Amino acid sequence: MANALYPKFKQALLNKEHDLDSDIIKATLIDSADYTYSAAHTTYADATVAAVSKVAVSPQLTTPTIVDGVFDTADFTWTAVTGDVSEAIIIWNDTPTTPTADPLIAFYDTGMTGMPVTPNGGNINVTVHASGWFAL
Amino acid sequence: MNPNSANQRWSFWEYRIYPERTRRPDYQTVKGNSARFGRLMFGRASEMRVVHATDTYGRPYWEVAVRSEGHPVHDPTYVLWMHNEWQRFFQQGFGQTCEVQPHARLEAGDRQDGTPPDQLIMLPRLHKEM
Repeated sequence: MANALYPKFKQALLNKEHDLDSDIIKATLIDSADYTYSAAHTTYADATVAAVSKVAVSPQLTTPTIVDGVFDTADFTWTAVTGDVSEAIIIWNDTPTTPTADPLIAFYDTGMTGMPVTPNGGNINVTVHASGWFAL
Repeated sequence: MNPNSANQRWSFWEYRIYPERTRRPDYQTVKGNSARFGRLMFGRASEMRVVHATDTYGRPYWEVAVRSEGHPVHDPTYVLWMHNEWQRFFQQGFGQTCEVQPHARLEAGDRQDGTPPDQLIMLPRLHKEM
C-alpha cells in the first residue's frame, strides 16, 4: 500500500467538515499486522482501526498550518512507547465529541526513514517532512 | 540510513538568527558559509537546511538547521560549547549584535541516563494528488 489521503477525508474536506489549522489533529503509530488500509474507511473508531493496531497516540499536533494547499505541523514525540513492531502512521481528527466519529485523514506506510520501528519503552521522535504532511 | 541502529546518536540543531538591520547577506552566501562551518563542526554525516523568512511580527530572520550523527547532544556542556561556536560564527556575518536563538535536541540514540534509547522516524511528504 502506498501513502494516501483517505477518500472520505477528501469528501469531508469538500463538505467543509475539517478545519485543519484549528481542529485537534493527532497521529497514531500503527501495527500493520492488525490494520489494513481501505479506501472505504471513514473513522478512527475501533470498529474500523482495531484497538490492537494502535501502538501509540500522539498528543495534539502543534503549530498546524495550511498554506497554499499544504498541511504542516511541528515535529512530535510518542512518549515511552511499548508494543508491537509498527510499520505505519495514521493522522486523524480528534475534534468530534463522539470518539467513534473521529475522521481519518491520511495513511503512511511507505518511504519513511526509521520504519519499521520496534518500540523499546523509550520515546519515538517523528520529524515531519520540511514540505509538510501533504499537499492538495 | 537507519537512525535507529545500535550505537548511533542523531541530534538536531537549529539556530534562528535575527541579523542587524544593516546586514543583508544574500542566500547563496549564507548557505555556502553555513555549509562550510557546518562541515567543520559536525563533519560530513550531516544534512543542513537554510531558510530565510519573516516571523509573525514581520522581522526577517534566518534559520539554519542541522541533523547530524555522533554528537553528544545529551551533554549540556557540549551543547553550550556548540551553541557558542555557532554564535561567534553568526556574529561574523550578521553583526555583533545579531540575536541568535539556539535549539538542540536528541532525535535518536542513548541519553546515557538509564532510559531506553530514543528512536526516530522521518516522514516523507505525501505527493501532490489531483
